[in-house]
Amino acid sequence: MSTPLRALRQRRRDSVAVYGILLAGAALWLFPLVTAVRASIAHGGVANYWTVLTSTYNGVSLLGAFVNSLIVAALHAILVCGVGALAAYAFSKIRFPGRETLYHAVLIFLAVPGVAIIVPVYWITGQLALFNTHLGVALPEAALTLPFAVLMLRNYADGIPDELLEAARIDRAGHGQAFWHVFLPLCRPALINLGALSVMWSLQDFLFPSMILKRSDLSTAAQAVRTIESSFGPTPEQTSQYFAALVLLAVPVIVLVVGGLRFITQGITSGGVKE
Amino acid sequence: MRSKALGAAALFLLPLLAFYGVYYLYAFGVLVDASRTRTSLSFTDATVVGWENFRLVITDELFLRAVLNNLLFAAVSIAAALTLGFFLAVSLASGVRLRRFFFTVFLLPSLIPLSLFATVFGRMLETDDGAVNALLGVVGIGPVDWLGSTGPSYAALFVLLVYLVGLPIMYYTSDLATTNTAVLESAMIDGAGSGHMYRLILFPMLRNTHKTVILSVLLGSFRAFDVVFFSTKGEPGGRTQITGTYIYNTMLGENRIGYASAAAVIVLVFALAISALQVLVTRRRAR
Amino acid sequence: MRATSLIGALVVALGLTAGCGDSGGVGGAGEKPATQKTAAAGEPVTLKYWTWFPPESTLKTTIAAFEKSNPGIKIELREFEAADYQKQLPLALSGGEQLDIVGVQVSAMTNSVHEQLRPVSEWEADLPAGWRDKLAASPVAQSEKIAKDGVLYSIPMGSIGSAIMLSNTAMLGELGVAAPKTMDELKAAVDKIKAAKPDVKPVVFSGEPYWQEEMLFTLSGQTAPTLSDDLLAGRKPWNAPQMVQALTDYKSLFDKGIFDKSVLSLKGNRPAELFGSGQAAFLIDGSWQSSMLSDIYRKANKISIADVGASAVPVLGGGQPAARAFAEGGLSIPKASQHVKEAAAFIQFMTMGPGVAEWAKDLVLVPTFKDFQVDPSVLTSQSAKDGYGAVIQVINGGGSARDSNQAFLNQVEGNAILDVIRGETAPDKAADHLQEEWSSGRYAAQ
Repeated sequence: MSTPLRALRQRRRDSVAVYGILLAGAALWLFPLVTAVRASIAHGGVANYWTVLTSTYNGVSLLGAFVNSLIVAALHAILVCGVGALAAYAFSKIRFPGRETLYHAVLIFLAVPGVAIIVPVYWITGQLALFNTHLGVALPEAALTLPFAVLMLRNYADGIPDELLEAARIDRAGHGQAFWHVFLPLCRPALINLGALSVMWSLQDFLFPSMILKRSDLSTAAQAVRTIESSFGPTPEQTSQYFAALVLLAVPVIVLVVGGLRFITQGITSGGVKE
Repeated sequence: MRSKALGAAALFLLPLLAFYGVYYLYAFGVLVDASRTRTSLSFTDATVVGWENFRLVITDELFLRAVLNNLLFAAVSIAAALTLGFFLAVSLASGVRLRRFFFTVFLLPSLIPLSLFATVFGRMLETDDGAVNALLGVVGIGPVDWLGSTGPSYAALFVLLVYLVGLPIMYYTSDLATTNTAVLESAMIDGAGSGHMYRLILFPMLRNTHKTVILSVLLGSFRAFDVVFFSTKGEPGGRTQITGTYIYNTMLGENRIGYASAAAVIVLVFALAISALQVLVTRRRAR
Repeated sequence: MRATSLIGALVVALGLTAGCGDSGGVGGAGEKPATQKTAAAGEPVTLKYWTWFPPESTLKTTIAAFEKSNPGIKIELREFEAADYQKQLPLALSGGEQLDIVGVQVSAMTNSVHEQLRPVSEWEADLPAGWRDKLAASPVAQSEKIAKDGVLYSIPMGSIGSAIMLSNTAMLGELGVAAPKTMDELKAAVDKIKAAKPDVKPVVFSGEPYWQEEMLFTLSGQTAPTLSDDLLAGRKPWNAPQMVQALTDYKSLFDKGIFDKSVLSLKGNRPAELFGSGQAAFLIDGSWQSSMLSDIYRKANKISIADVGASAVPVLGGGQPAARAFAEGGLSIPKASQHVKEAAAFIQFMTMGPGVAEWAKDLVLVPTFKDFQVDPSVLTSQSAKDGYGAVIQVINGGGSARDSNQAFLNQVEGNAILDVIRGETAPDKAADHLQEEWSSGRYAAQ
């Protein structure tokens, strides 16, 4: 790969400096992970991982927690992509009065903090009888992600030539047909990126699962960090096992995220608040 | 024709508006109602106390501190993004070996659940047995009582924020790929040093990316909660709290939901105002 | 095609989650007593039991013993971290979660959950006649009095006191240090340990804000036994001279080098872990850590110290040994339970039946049950026996109640004490600040 940026490392001195900084940075960035892994095998060795994986802590099994995380993340991604795509079509391809005003009104909610709405979310979840359901978590998560989804998908949709959709509509098909047969397939790359991002954000969420999922068998991975803590006793071995559990909780997330890194990067950057 | 378009748009926007209606509009209504009462989370025993909760929140120095911290932490994140994030992204784009590896490593802390990352980080801050002091001990510094006094605990949080520089790296990386940087080659022929190229050529070239980065980091900073909640927990003395942890912590105790709601309303108004201001500015410039 | 499969996935996913949600009792669903279910013959009843205490390992053996003697009943246990539990239980109960037995932190939680609990009078018919006579009067009376309406909602498993001090007797013996009774003796012991074993922390305790209150009122209790009660009841302002004195005294222990500020970075289980692994000589904690006195418990939990002793926290400046004590481990039946009879059977087992001997082996509480005797196999050394005696004595010593205003403690009080210790605030300024916040209307639930 040749890039003009290579000029920055043309001199040997500069190249050494860049590599030096990158290596030192990488070492620092891996330091927490290394610390956690070392602590996890300090007492009891690698066997701790097996112990942790096959036990339940306060009724939470790590494998169960992964499954719950994935179900919530999948629901969240589906809701965000579905609702987001419909809205992006309207904002990008239908000319209606007040469109831009409404669009910007939607974007204002980009800054709403989840913690600020937990009280009403608690109330709403009760009204909808959604406590202890995965959907009960995915819905408020989706509400928080939707402003971003609309921004990102509209950015993308504005790049799709209107002619493509007009052609479909001339064949006396309505907006529904155009959306389904032309718009959605064209948006596929953006939807994949958005889906990957939605999965990641949902995996990171601690707040809503801990409010809404009270049954231990429903606990998600991010939530489990807290729920399992108290079942480890004050002995060196148990502390090591807690760290082993932390490391294990991170593994599936790391695998998923590294696997989908390309989509996540593209997704984030295409949803930038561009000027 | 116009009304037909409106009808179609309404149909497509219906799910979005349903979400907004329930989780924002209705939710804000519930929040404002709750904020004027003393109540628990079951909402069965509410006594109306008027605007008393708001007075109490606004006069709480810890709350004001939390708001200021929010802004301070946003500023630190932005500073880290524009310097370290920019530099790392450019370095990674300069055709280094193991690029994918470095990229992943720098992004990891931003991508895994913060509850995990910050928990591990929090444990590393212990005075006598923590990994951070152990590492600093090797170079002869310490031991530092990280959560014991205000300075070091801010420093610890700043370090944590710097670890989360992954998002800006993504923005820069993506924009560098589409920016024409051929000018660097001629600059090099003219004998420009690399420091000169970073500061005077590349940095101004990515002006628009900087704006994107600043806005995203600023908007994201209002959503921060886990960073502090899982690391310093606001210590020492609640002085490193942010609005997110303040609201969360005030929910503990008897009948404090009204009080927490009042704090939430104030934070929301603040966050929405900044967001609206940003949208307005963007719109005006677009015209 | 792709979209169709997406929709398909959505439908399946919704199907997975729908139909099993609940209203969380928002709006008051959890208020009315549930109708009772009678189990079909031969079908086991499963009781849901939530608590934070005692540790899971202790409870599991007790539950196993109960299930063995009551084959028709299964217990499904869920345990929480103590502070988390204060948030989760009220939410779950008001959320209509169908729990059958709940542990109640008698002082900290009774009033935040009592609306969703059945008074004991509702189910005492399922207990043996004259059950009150089997129990020590004072913990039961405390549990009754703490409720705003003066009704007994839970039967306390026992009493606890804090703070007390555990010592690594094996290490002290090796260094020729006698168990310290005064702070001056503790200072001498600390100096000896520092000189002989630089890697060992002499004294450890939790640095979390809430724990600082326990330390402070234990110290003040030595000379002003009712200070904590008076403050919480509003009989004295928080800037009363005794409070300023207490703050000054607590700080002085750090200044004299008896305590080290580095222990303030220890959170959660860490102090107990350091003590248990022989890296600390003294642990100041609650009487629930008396488990460490038990040789069997130490072996089961791979704690490597050979001998452990216990005592009251050493006395500063001529006071009497003290600790704040209270009934703890209340067991209660929520209104939402559909298995009151079975739940009562379990509570009977745990508070006045054979279960007491099971969990009390680990010495986490001093049982309310009058007939309880510590099994001779538990306290094997003289120092363990003496230590347990000292713990019981200080719990029954008539100090203040172990009570707190949780919101005030966690938001203001703990932090204010920490600031004093670290020299950020002067004791009198801190006391004024405490009084100002206490009367601000933000925290006080009076």
